[in-house]
Amino acid sequence: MSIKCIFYSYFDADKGPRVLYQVPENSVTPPLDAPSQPPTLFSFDEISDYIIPKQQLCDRLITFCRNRYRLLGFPICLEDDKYDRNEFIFNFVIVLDEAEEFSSYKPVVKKLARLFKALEEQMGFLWNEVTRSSVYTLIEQVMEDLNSYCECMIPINESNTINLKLFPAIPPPPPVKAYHVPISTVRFESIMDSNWDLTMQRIIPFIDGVNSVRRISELADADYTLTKKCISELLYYGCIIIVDVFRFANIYAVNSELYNFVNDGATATTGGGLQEECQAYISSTGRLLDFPTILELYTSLRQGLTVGEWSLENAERLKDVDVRRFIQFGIIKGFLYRVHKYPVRIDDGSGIVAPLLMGSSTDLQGLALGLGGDTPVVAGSVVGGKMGKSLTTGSGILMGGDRSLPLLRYLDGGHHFDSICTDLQQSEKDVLKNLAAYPIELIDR
Amino acid sequence: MTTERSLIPNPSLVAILLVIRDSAGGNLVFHYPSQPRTEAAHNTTSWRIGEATTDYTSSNSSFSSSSSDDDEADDRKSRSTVRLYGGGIATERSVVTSQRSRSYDQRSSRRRRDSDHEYDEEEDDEEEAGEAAGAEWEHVLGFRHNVLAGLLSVPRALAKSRFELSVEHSVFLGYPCYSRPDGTWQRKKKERKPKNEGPKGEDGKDAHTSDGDNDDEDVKGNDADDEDPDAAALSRSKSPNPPPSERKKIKREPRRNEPVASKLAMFHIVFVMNPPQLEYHTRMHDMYDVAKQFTMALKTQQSEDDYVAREAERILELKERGEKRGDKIQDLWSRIIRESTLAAAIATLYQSISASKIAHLKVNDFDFALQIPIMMETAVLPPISEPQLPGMHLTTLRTLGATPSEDEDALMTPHFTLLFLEDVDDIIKEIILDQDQSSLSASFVQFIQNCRPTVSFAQMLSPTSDASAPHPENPEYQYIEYFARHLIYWRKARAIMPLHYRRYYIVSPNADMKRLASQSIMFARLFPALPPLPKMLSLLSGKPRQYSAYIPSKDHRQAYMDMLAWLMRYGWVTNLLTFAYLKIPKDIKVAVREQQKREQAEAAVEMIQAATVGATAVAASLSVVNSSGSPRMISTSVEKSIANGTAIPNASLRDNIIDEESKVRASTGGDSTISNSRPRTGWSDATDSSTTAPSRSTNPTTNTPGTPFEKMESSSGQLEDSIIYDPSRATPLESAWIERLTEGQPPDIVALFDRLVKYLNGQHAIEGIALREAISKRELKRVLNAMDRYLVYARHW
Repeated sequence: MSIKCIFYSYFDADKGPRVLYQVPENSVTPPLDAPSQPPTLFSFDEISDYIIPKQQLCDRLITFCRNRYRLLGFPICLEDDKYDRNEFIFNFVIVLDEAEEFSSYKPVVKKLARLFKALEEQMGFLWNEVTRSSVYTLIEQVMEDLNSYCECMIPINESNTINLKLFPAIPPPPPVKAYHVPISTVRFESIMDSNWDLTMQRIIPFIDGVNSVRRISELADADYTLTKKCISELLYYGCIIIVDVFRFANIYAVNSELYNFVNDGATATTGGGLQEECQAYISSTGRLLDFPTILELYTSLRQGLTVGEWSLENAERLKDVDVRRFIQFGIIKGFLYRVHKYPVRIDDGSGIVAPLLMGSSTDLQGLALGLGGDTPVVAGSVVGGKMGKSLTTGSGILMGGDRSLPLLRYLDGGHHFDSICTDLQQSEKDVLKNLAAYPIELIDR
Repeated sequence: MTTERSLIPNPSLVAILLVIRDSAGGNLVFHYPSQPRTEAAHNTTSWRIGEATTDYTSSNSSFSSSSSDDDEADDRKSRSTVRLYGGGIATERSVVTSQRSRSYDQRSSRRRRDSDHEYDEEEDDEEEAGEAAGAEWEHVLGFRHNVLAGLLSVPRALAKSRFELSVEHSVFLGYPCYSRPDGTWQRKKKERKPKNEGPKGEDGKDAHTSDGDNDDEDVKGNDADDEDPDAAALSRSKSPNPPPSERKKIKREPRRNEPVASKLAMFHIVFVMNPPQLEYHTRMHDMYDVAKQFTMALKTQQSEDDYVAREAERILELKERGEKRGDKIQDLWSRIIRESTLAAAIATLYQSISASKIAHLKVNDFDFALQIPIMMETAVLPPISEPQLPGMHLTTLRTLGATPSEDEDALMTPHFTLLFLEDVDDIIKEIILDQDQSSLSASFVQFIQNCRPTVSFAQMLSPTSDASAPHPENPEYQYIEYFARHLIYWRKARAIMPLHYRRYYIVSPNADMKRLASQSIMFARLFPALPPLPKMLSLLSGKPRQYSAYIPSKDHRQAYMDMLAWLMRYGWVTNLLTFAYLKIPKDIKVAVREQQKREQAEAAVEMIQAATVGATAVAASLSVVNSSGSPRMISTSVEKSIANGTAIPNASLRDNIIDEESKVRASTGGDSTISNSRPRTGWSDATDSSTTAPSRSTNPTTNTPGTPFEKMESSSGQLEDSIIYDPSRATPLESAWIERLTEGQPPDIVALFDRLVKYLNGQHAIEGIALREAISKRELKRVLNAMDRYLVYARHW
């Protein structure tokens, strides 16, 4: 990751586009004493149209590829009577390898251009031959500092400083769902201070690897949308990892990443230690299991077997193991996956998935309004019974009328029980009970 | 992480432009869609395969049915964003006016489309008047036509190389083509090469259009952008070996004889893109392949009979007429597409590529197809925090890809087969339509007809013996592999391990549940006699069972296998495979240690006996060993290394490193903000020790306070059960252990186990081992049963 060259070019009224300063020398134009010698990177003359463009393309970030190099420039056009042809176009161009990830340089190029624009407007910095002579040293310094330290601070005069920093591009976080369970990877108490966002301060105590996002917002008495935003933010910066809601009725199975877990110890170069980490993490008593036993336990988790059943089968070997942490470790490291259960409402006659007909609502309404007997089910804004209490505390869970058929809208196969239960704030058992009157199939995936 | 993302097709294509340059200058002739969206999508990242793109099986839609919708949609979107640049209409207009007053070179470059420009003037005036009705004519992507034309009609020096320019968020990608310096486009006939003479040579050229350019580029020198000609040929030809279409050639033959200078000096097909920043390089790379291939095809046609020049002229004419009449842009565009084959090709290309489909194109009677290849299977189930790939087939089997790669297991490939992703009859129909009935296409059709998802390639060749693989050099087999790769490349099929009712199939964790409702209807239509799709998936949901367990009777078998193929095709199920790891129990280690000690002692005795009296010190210590035989005598570091199962220097080195690491960490621990109580995320983090969970030495204090840890690999040298990571690269000590495992087994088991032990590393599906090693399944079972105590099985895809 490094800058190959920075050059300053401008439009000369007599000679056309010109390169005045370049670091290193002869990168883009041949040396004056040997004009036939090709420049080291590429020839500026061939591409000058894209460096010093027409006026209407100025003030935009323009990148161009040539000869396996990528040029990033931000041409500036200033209009003033003092210039020949009444305008002055210049461009500070950063040259990188074409294959380089260049997004972090884009703001740098922009900022550099705007800084020199300001300098030129204030004092004619680039037009004046005396002040302009310092440009070479400046861009040399910028290139050196960015390449070595990814940032630079170069004072130009009492009121202007070149302050640049390369920020890495981080991929956006995944969409946060109500049923996601965050686990912290950092010690929040040591990095959080009173300047943090209020919602953030409120929810962080409840991030414990057990509570779902929905539950966190309830416990913290924080707005659900804001909570989601905060979680998203934490995820972006890698302060948390997302896992699923742990229950003993869940089903897990190993996936193809298992090999990396087993093989971790073998490649000492990558640090290894994963297996030891696992032994320590899953232990509830301090006694450590040997690795083959751990592996056997993980591989004995399979489709169609709930964690509860599995714990009974392996009760002896699990007596020193915290089962929740055991499962979580596998999920976090990615070699274990959750087998979700999807209820699907089927059409009685054909057996195909029943369409979500919002229109013919008599039976749907009936379903929504609580065939569950004693358990009051929430329909729309109708809130009642013991369910209602927990609902009113968690603000805005059933948002208005579009949830008038809370249960049925989930039965097209697109929603698993985790999602349905957190959304409806019902236990899986209750949901199933409410569904009892309807033909459904359960699909584990 | 970026590589993961690129699994999701995301062409990021905004528009395709056709720019030409002739004696009068550069001109933007055509662009599709008529009003491209210009919003900056630089931050959007693909999170999930879109519905359209998961449909691997459908090829391109006929654009005539969808184009109007698209246009309208585009229209609505672009209206709000057409003035994105410059921050509003005022700026835009000021740019326009200043540009006009300044009279740039473009003015002087006005040419035969003068009337066109007069109209422009009017439009400009109208725009001045406030209503931007002219904007839809005058601006593309927020640029004025002539600005874009100026930017994209590149100087000759930049021709024949990758052109990549970005202005803010719009990236312009292309491969500009110039005529020869004498103004002609024809390649000079290479008289010296006899193979290029006559119709035969031209056919070859037509089929592999890249050849057409190679001489030019050779002259020009080092254009590193040149692709592998083979790959280019494969990707460009729609049929495995495009048979010469002589009839067309002969018709066109006379025209090529006298090279005429064309009015056209340059043409440039520009792909406008807005890739997400983090995917920039992969997306551009993928599109460049398409851009270059399309350009090359056009170049060939241009050199044949001035095709591009003619089409450009026609499009300009139509535009001129339409603008004069004051047609709506949508009407005009659909007329242009109807009347110009080049415009139609560009439109098809845009629609197919931006929907991640295969574009079937026809320019100047030359048929070809282009695509950005997509992933059809993945080994890794994306975790919750990664982009999701619902519907994508899951398998760790390194099956056949579109092109041979090092990843493939040459010994296994004959044992795979093809799963067609489309109706076989449709595929065959397409082939027959595509090409003449040459013998090759006949055998291609035959291959497709004979290919069954339950029968491997090897079995196809020799139906009687199912274990012996064909020799890779077998010409018949090579044809099969060639055909198979071709079908895979064109998304007609995917390589799978043959389906069998004795195998295990589970509901794929990557199944696209959102499509359940629609697919259950399709399923009910296809398999009316079988349980409905939700029911079937529900049955397959439980504890994994052999597929035969779901088949009610032998008569149902064929129907159930057909259904299984369908379920595999749409990614509903995946094959559950078995992987084995080798476990070394403690007693084996103890036994080996004892034995080694004995041997050491014996060796020492021999040495002493052989040595003279001189080496007293050594003799003294060794004699102690000899007399007592106590385990204490082995130094702790050696013991540790035995426990670790690694060679001695390695083990001690590693321990040192870890110790140092922990020292460093201890000294900087004060300001460490990272909790040690959580496991690290992801495998890649392992190197970043500062942010990760503790090393072993810090565990006791931070992890579970109050509980003193007993180290597994305790320094006391206590031996533990362990897993051999890679039996094929076992250390001497590990080899000794492995050898010890088979003690007491009959010799044939020992011999077989020695052959099989390299597969016991969790990376080879047991299901494939018998085929790979050409041993019978019974034998394999016998060995595995005999060694059961030492095997840990894991089951996944």
